[in-house]
Amino acid sequence: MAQLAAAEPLVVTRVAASRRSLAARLWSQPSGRAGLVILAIMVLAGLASLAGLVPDNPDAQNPAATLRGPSAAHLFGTDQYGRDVLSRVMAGTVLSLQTALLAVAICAVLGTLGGVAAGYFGGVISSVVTSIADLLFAIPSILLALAIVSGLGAGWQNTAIAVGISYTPIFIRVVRGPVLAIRNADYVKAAQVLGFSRRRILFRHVLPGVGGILAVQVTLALGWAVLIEASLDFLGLGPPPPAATLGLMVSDGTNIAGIAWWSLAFPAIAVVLLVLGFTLTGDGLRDALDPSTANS
Amino acid sequence: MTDRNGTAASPVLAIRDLSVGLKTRTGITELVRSVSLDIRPGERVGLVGESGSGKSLTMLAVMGLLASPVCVTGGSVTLGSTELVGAPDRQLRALRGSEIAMVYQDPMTSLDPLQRVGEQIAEGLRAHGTSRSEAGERTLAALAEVQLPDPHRLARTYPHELSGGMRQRVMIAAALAGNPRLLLADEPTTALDVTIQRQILSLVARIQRARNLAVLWVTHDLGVAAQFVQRLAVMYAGRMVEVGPTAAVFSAPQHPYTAALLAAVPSTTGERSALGQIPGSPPEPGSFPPGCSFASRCRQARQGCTQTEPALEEREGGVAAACFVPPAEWQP
Amino acid sequence: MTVEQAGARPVAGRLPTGSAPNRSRALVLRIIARIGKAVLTLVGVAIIVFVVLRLLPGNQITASLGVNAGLLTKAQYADLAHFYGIGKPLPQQFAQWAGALLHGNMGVSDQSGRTVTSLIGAALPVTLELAVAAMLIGLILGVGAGAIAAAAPGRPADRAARVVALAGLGVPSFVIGSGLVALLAAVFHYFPSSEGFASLASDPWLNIQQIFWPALTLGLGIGAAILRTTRGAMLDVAKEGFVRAARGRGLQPRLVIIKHVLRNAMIPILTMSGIQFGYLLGGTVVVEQIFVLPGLGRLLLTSVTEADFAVAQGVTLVFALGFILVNLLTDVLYAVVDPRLRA
Repeated sequence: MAQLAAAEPLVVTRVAASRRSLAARLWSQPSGRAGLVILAIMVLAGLASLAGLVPDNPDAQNPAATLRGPSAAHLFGTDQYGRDVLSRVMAGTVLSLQTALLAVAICAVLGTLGGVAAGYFGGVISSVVTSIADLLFAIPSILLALAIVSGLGAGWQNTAIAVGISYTPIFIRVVRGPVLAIRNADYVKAAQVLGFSRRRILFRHVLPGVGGILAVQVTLALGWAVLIEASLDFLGLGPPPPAATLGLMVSDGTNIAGIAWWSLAFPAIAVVLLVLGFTLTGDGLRDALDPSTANS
Repeated sequence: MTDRNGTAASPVLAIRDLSVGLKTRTGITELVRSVSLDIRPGERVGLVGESGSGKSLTMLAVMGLLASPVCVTGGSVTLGSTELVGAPDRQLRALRGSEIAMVYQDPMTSLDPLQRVGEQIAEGLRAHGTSRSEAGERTLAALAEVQLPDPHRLARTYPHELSGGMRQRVMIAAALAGNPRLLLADEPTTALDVTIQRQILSLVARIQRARNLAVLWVTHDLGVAAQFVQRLAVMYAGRMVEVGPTAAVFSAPQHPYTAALLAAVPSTTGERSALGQIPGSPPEPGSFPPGCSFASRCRQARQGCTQTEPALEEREGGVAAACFVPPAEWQP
Repeated sequence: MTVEQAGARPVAGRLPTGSAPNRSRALVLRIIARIGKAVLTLVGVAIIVFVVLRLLPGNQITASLGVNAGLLTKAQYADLAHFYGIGKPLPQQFAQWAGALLHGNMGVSDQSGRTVTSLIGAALPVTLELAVAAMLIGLILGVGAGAIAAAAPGRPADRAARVVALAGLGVPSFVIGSGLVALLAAVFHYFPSSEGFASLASDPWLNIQQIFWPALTLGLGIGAAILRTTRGAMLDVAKEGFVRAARGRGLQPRLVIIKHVLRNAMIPILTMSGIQFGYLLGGTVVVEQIFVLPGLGRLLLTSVTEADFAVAQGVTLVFALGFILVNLLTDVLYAVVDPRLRA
């Protein structure tokens, strides 16, 4: 406790300038390392599924082998239709990843545009953009997703659109702050005085400063997108059965968990690993980019 | 400072060979190296040095306010007859605020923005067992002593409502409210503008005389030192390089660094010339060179300077200096 | 030394001129401005929801009749269209709805025939209880564990807390909820939801059981986020000069932590709590489904999937209102905690 109550003076010892690349610094963080490893595993599994390197066809039903526990033939067991759970989990991973990527692409582009516009131009544009952001933020994301999905139909692209639009206000907010700060920074004012065009200032001075924050936010957004997408699938608003989505598998698995724990456990673990992987990587990125925020 | 019997009164604070270091994974980086200093009752002592010379750390070490990984690595600090280094926290707490008090550099960040100013003073008094009502009384008295207007109303203000100078006065009031024997001041006027600086200095001088308070005043400003302190200690690269009565040190510095510092002060009289500089920069903690740390920048450096560290030795006029080359032999 | 004895002629500075009544007035003005903004936001949300729902293919007729809608005669269709207000220009429909809304009439549920107001009235207390319980659990766990972690950074308690927080953040509430239900049912044979929902008034013990598990599910996620914020904020505040100054006056560590560190950390904690409440509202949809609670979340889900627009609009407005109110509350709390904001 004395630890916390005592503050140390800022000892100015010059830390040897870190010449290691960003990747190396990310790897040296325990959170970054764990996150990258987890992500690597999940992405590989997903890619394998895309390439068809799965033990079984995820949709192939086998009435003779329903609800078998994990075994050599079926590492994750089989579900109530005799489908191989491992293959389905891998397919579900792909679906989650692609949905998340599309969703984050949408909100990153929209949000960055909005945030940069609001931060750089200020005034009316800023008020309009932030008002829209506040409005979007006040609407529960589930509702937006529900509306879009029930209107446009169920499909992973529509889920992605819904998730992407919901997260846009956060990107706007996250990007706007630094842009505003940089825009008012002395070196940008100097550039203006020197007569550089607005475009040049924007691209060569403002955007690079925001790059790091964007990278962190994109990573965290990916994790969030997987979470929301899985929740939507769980509620039955994603691709309908027999699609192999992780959310649906968890939903089905809960009903038969008493007799077939593997139907619930493995898809659930897959979702958790995906979310954790992105979150940890995002944390590690944040610490690697700005050591002063590292918490230990 | 002798008492009636003619013998020197025992010091309020005795720092002996104090060393402070930074614990790293690979070992300990020295920050303050074997510093010794006495402060006698009612004396004003100044501690001068560049940023990074270790002066603030020395003060914090005395208060026991260093936080890991920075820690005391050796030496002793005695307040009266109590040993502070290694003392249990409970004992140190009893002394802080009541026997020793400290005033910090930045008045902006030294006060809790969420709490009223008077409460921050009173809580310190209550921590030492004063009753709530008496603490209130003494708070108001302290605020009046530092010449803040309308102490009743001022005690109820929040820090952000006050100017920098007023905040610093509050800090001083907080320090004095407990009636300490020793006041440690870590560059308290550096963050203030010059006119306020003078006001604060004269305020502290007046209070110090009235209470016969011992003061250790850290500054990097030689002008402040000249005005205010009776004895001056000069630190460089974590070491004490010169100590002595202010007038003596100023008129006849015994260490090349002190001489160079004094020469660097711009003068309004005499010819216009380039500002005196000391070429190079101080060594970083962790890479202190063998021998005298100042040798690489010193115009008087000789063969032996980079091999052995000079010890602080008494010279004439009550000045002690850590240098192998006596001033008589200095080259211009 | 008393004030009189000490008094030399005061020299330094001027006291702030703002008197207490002035400061209170400024605070009230701030609140009014915030409320104005909140109302505008609410109106904006209403418009968006209205438009989005109307733009979707299909309308109330096809939704309630399904395939049989094709069997209607022109006249019947026209009658139904008139009843539902289809075909009129959107702004007119909106004005109609908004007007009715201001009279407290949110319309009638197409599916059940009951008024939207009564449906919402029945579901609101459930969700309210769930939300309050979840926030409480989240705050207690989060601030408590966060403070413990911050008190000894790097030590085992801290590491454990951070791992748990990570789990709370990474595991989606539907996984936690499903896992809990499965665990309670399969292992402990415990089904508090098997009987109908019991309100707090009718059967408090059953009610608490039915609310506790879903609240815990949501509370873990909230607690994880608040834990991280608390820990980070407290560690940041601990480095501030005034913490050292307080120690320098001889205060005990516990007092320093509570009076100075924790209080200053409250501001980021408040911010995070507000954000978490936003996610909480979405979370109720999932959790009420899993634990079979007849709350607003469940109502929203069914109303949208069944194209019961009146209900969907009503519930969304209530959610948005709740979110806006909580934001207002946090703004007010900021001003309460931080005197700098009251100027």
